Amino acid sequence: MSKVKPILLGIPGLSYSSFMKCNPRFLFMLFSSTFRGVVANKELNYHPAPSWLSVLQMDYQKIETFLTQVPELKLVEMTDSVLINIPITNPTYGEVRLPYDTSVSVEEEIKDVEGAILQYVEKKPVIASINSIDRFLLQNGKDKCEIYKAVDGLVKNVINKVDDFIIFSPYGEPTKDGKREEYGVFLASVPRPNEHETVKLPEIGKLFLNIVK
Amino acid sequence: MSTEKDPELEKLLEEKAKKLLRQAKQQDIRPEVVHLDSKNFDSFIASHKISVVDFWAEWCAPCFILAPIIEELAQDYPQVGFGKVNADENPDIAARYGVMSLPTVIFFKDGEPVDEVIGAVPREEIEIRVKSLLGE
Repeated sequence: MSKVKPILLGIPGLSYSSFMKCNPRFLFMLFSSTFRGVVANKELNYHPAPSWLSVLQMDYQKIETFLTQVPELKLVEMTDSVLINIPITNPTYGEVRLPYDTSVSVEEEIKDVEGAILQYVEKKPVIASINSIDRFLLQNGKDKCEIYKAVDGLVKNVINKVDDFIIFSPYGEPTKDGKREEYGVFLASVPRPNEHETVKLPEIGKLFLNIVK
Repeated sequence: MSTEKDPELEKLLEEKAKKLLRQAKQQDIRPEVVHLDSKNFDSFIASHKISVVDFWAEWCAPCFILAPIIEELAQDYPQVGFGKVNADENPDIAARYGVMSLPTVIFFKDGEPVDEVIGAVPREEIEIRVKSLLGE
């Protein structure tokens, strides 16, 4: 019987500041039962592409917007992972490719991404992103807690299938100045070396590499 | 359909825009949670009959869950001073009040600590203490 592989799941825009308001039950359960932290991202919180690329290259990548050509991605090479819906390009990059705007519904993105994760997670380590919170809150287009509920459902279905995981948001919710909150969420099945320090983006990639190895 | 500009419509739109801008400015004027450090902490608690201070740190996830509750209460109770202290950057203040875990919320009356709550608690846990101190 094949062993289920680890997953690195990014959720741009997911913010601790909405946990009390929206009460995402499964995420709250993980919050109280797994290793947790705060992702600090004060420099690259203007766009999903530099943040996600910094995780995948395990080093800070200061790019302005989406890539048009994708270079060799260190973390993918070193872990032989499959990528799903990663917002380093627009449409997103990997096994699921969706436009980074509001043209695809929350439900559709979640269905496609969840399906792809469950398809691959028994074969390869999975690196996936669910972008509904960032896509819709940037446009003020939908009730925040409805999106949180849908994302919480995906997290429950996926995490219940795996042994090891990292869930993170590279930054929090969109702010009035067109950026995003400087702090994101970090939940993992494994401890970090410095739990009394904020989590840095390259560190997330390195932690996932350690889990896979 | 004519594409010519209608001066009356233009004027109405301009007035509407001004009104919306005024409303937005008014909405922005609201009590905030004041960032406190060793320079302003003592004067802050001395200048409020009742004050509530949230001790937090950047790495502390429950602190980020609690923060919006403190911000909400600051808007709902403008007669109370709400402040926050980064315990890592101001260890002297944290040590003075025996803050051992984060988040810790300390309630002050006439500049003296009178109560505290530890952890990310629901709004009611903090509000009940605020009301009690206000004599409500």
